[in-house]
Amino acid sequence: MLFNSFEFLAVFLPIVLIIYYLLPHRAQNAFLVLASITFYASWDWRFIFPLLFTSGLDYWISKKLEYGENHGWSKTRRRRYLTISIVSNLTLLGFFKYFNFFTQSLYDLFWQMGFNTNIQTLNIVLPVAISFYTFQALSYTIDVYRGELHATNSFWDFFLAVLYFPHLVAGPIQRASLLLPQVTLPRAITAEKLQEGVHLIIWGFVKKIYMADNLSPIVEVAFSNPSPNGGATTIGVLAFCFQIYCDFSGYTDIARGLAKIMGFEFSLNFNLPYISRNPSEFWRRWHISLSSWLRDYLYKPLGGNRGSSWTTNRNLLITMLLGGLWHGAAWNFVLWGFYHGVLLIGHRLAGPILRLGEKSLGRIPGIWPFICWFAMFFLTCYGWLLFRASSVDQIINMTASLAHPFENLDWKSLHRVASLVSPLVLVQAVQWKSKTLYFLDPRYVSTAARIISYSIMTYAILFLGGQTQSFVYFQF
Amino acid sequence: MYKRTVASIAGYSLVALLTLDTCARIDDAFNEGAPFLAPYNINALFQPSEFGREGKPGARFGKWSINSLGYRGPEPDPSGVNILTFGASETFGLYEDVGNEYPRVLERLLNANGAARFNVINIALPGVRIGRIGYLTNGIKRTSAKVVIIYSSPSNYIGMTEPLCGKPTFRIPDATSIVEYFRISGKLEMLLKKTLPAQVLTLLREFSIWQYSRTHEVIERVPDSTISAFAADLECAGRATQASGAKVIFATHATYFGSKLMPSDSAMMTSWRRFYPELRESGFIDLEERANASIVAVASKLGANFIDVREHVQGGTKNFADFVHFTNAGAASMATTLSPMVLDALSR
Repeated sequence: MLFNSFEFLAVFLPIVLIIYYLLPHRAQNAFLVLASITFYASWDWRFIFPLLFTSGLDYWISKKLEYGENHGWSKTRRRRYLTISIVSNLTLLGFFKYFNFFTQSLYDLFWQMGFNTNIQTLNIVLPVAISFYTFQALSYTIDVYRGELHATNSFWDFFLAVLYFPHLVAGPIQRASLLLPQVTLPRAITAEKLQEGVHLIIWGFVKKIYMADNLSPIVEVAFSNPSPNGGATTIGVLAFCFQIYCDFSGYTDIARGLAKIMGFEFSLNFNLPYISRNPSEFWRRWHISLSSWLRDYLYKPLGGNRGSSWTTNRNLLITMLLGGLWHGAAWNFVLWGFYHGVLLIGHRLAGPILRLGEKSLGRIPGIWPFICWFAMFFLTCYGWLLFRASSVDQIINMTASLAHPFENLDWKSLHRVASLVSPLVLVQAVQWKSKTLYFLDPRYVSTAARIISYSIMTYAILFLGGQTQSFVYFQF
Repeated sequence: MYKRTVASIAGYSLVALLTLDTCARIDDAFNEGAPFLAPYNINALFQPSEFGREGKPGARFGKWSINSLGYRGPEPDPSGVNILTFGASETFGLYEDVGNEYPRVLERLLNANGAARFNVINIALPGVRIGRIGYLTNGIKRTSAKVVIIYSSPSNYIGMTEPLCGKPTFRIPDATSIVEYFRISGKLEMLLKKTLPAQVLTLLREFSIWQYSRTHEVIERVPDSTISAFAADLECAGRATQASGAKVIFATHATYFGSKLMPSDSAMMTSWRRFYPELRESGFIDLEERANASIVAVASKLGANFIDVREHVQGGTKNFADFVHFTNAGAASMATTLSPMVLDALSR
């Protein structure tokens, strides 16, 4: 059931909201569990079982960890339980998501070495959302182990925190420390929350249906061309840069909006990432829930930046490599992660040069920030080429074509991309200038102006959308 | 306080409606060259005339465009031999991609061997009855057509008992409902039709039929006078065509249902009956049978060519987008069926 499907918007959501608003708190939670199971099972009812296993295991382990903490268990003993949780979760994720990938890669490696092996791949159905809920559940057990969170006494509260349908399928990855209290305590649904929730939902749909879905065919043409010229690559990469942002942030906004109108607060997942002027800033603005998860549960345990420069760089690279692999079972995602790791390391190492540049060019107002922004945007776009490409050959061909980026440039397609993206650029300029993402905040914008804006957005959603596409991040 | 709230809600609703409508107008103006203020719907393609109604030269709506002669399609080649296709919406073309309605396909087939240049001019009008003789003969005269293909739509005669034979019958309705003044209303209607599940649409149609049947008489089959009126108009059209110097080709009418209504066809039949709620479902197949028999009889009486389209364009979803209108594939089958007979008629 996609958020932009008739079944969700006209049937599922109205029924869920009406019943939800009529129920008292504890009954609301029970009902949301039922609704979320229904939502998830609409893909495939079998997907419930891995989710139940993960949730059940982590709930039980967390109870054990807290019991151990309160009854003087040794660190080693507690760590054993944590290890069970981590190994079980990652094994499940690894099996469903990466078994065939590694098997095939191993086969390819043996073949390259001259060995003709007969490795069996399995017909494995990848459960939707497994990457997201695995990380979510893991963060819970780790936080309980660290003593940063008390284990909940209610399995159903924990299950709801993992399963809750707005964030289940494609995030944002919600830490239990943020979400569990909202599950266990009564939620207030205020007029302000409703307004902002509806705002997020509408803006999310505009990004998804009007921008991302209309950009999709342009991207498809560019990336299915076996011999792209520079102009086609430039347009394709630029279009994908905005397609993936609008698709993913659109989904997140819808998820956050849906949660808000039910009284939940989800954490911010995108904070104007394309205004970033360096890789560190980019990863503080892009897919924040994932990058902060990787930082807190991978980078810091590896040592973070507490060791030597070499170990810091090593930790950055490992974190980004695994972050890339998280996105999918394919080498281009690993390459993309590696690329961003190199960017982060490069940015650290280039610190003195960058400071020198800022000093010398800083006298001209705005020039240095512009140069940094332009360079980072260009580097980000190239990263998306690696992300979207379907093979190493394609990466090589498209990269080579970028030597002449304006070769045979299709101005009509470029104009189309620009016209689709221009509302986004305009809105983000307003958001950046006003230092708030809620660009139609009723405290600052008149009711008439808001109604006109929402009407225009509604028109774009209903009548100017592209061919319906699945959300890009569903595949992760 | 209450009055202020109601007034505010009403005011803001009006602002929203006007904004949506303005967006629709800008969208139509930008993408389809539509007028910004004037009404813009399928009626924009037509204008009243001495013959009742005809295409408005240069008009556009959506994918449909009218040429300088007032007919759907491109400008005919002045050096070509003209063939006319006369009928209702099945011939005008509703669902086919632009250029794939059967007159366009027929023209490409006829011109495929490159021997001579043929123009197949689509003079059909949605909803037209075959008895629009003045319109037909005017079209033959203007184009000096050599062949006229008549693909009549029997269901347009439901409720009629007298032949038309030349009387103008249609006047473009004025926009009497306030809803019709809003461009957004048409778009919302189309969106609902596209979005609502088929089962819901069928239920809504069944409800509409039920409402009608509560206050009106519903007949099991059309009376003989209706078939007689149809046959008379068909003969009138055939004679008028022959009198104008053109050869006439009659084509029997094909539908989604073929010759037999199956239980699985009930939803499709409901969608047809919604336009003619006064006739029961079984009456439609009966009407088709009797009307097609009339077509064969009239063709024989006039010594004219006729082609049994039903045998060549099978029922079902491959050839029909709805109860009577063609898909691209159906239109192609229709054109392929007609092509040899047209060439034969031209050669004699």
